[in-house]
Amino acid sequence: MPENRDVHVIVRAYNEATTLERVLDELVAAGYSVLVVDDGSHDATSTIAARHAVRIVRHPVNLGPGAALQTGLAAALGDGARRLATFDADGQHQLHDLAACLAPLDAGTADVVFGSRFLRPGDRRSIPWRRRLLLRGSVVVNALLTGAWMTDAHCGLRAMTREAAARIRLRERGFAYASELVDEVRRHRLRLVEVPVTVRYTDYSLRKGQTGWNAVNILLDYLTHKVLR
Amino acid sequence: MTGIQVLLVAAALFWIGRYLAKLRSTHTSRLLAVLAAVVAMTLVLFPEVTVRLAHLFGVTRGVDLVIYLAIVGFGFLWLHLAHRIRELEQKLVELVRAQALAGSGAAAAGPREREPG
Repeated sequence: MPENRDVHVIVRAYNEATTLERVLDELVAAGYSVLVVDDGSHDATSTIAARHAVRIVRHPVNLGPGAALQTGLAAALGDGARRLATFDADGQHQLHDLAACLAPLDAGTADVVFGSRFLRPGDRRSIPWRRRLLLRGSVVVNALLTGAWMTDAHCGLRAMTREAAARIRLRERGFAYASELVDEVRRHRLRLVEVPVTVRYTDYSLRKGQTGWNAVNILLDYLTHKVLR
Repeated sequence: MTGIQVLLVAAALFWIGRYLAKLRSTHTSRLLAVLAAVVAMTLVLFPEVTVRLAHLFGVTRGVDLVIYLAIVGFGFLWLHLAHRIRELEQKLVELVRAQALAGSGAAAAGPREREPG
C-alpha cells in the first residue's frame, strides 16, 4: 500500500508568506514528505517554512518557476522519492486533487500526471473569464510548439514517478518551462494523463497570476527556447 | 576630407583606443578589432572602393551595400549574443542550484527527523 510519506511534494514559493502556512499545515498533516523550494523570496517565506517539518532548499536569488521545479526534482530524487508531485504555495490547490493525481501513478497507468482545470464544466466555470481566455490561448500555443493538445498547459498541480523525474531535465527558468516539460515527456515517451482538478481563485492568487502582457513574454520565451535549443 | 569622413575616422580611432585599452581582450580579438577598424577607415576614406564592390554585387550605391552587409552582420551578432546570454543564464542557474542544494543538505534535516513546531 503506497504511503503518503513516499510522495515528495514540491512546493515552489516566491514571496508566498501570506498563504504558505496553511498550505504546509495541510500537506504535513496529510503525511506527505514536503520539500519547499524558496526561490529567492524576500518576505517571510523561509521563516514560515522553517516552522514546519519540511525540507527547505533556498535559491539565494530568484531564478523562476522552471528552475525552482528542476531544483525541487533534483532535491527530491536525492532524498529517495519514489513519487514526486508539485503543489502551489498560494492555496489554489486542494489535497483531494493531489490524491487524484497520484492515483494513476499507483495504478501503473501513467508515468506523469498533469492536473487540468478544463476537464469538468464546473472547474472551467470557476476560472475568471480573462484567465480562462489566456489559458485557452496558451493551450493553442503549447500545441503549436510541442505538437501535443493538452486541455490545460499550465496547471501547477502535477505528479510523476521517480523514473520519469530522473529523465526530465528542464532548462527554462521562467513560465515557459510548462511547454518544455511537455516536450520532455514526449521526448522520453513517458505516459501522460490529465486528471480533472478544481482551483480556488482568490483575489490574492489572481493578482499573483500572469497578466496578458506577461503572456507575450512567455510566448517569446517559448519561441527562443525552440530556436536556440 | 569631408566632414563625415573626419567623424567616422575619429570614431574608428576612438573605438580602437578604448578597445585596446581593455586588457581583458585576447590577442585574437584585438587583432580582429584593429583589422575591422582599418577596413572601416579605408572604406570611409576611399568611398570609390565601396561603389566598385557594390557594382560587383549588382547594387547601385556603395552605401546601400554597406547597409545590407551591416544588417546581416547585426543579425548574426544578435543571435550570437542571445546564445551567449542563454549560456550564461544556464551556468548561473546551475551554480545557484548547486549552492542551494549543498546549503540545504547540510543545514536542514529530512522531514522525518525534524521535530515539528
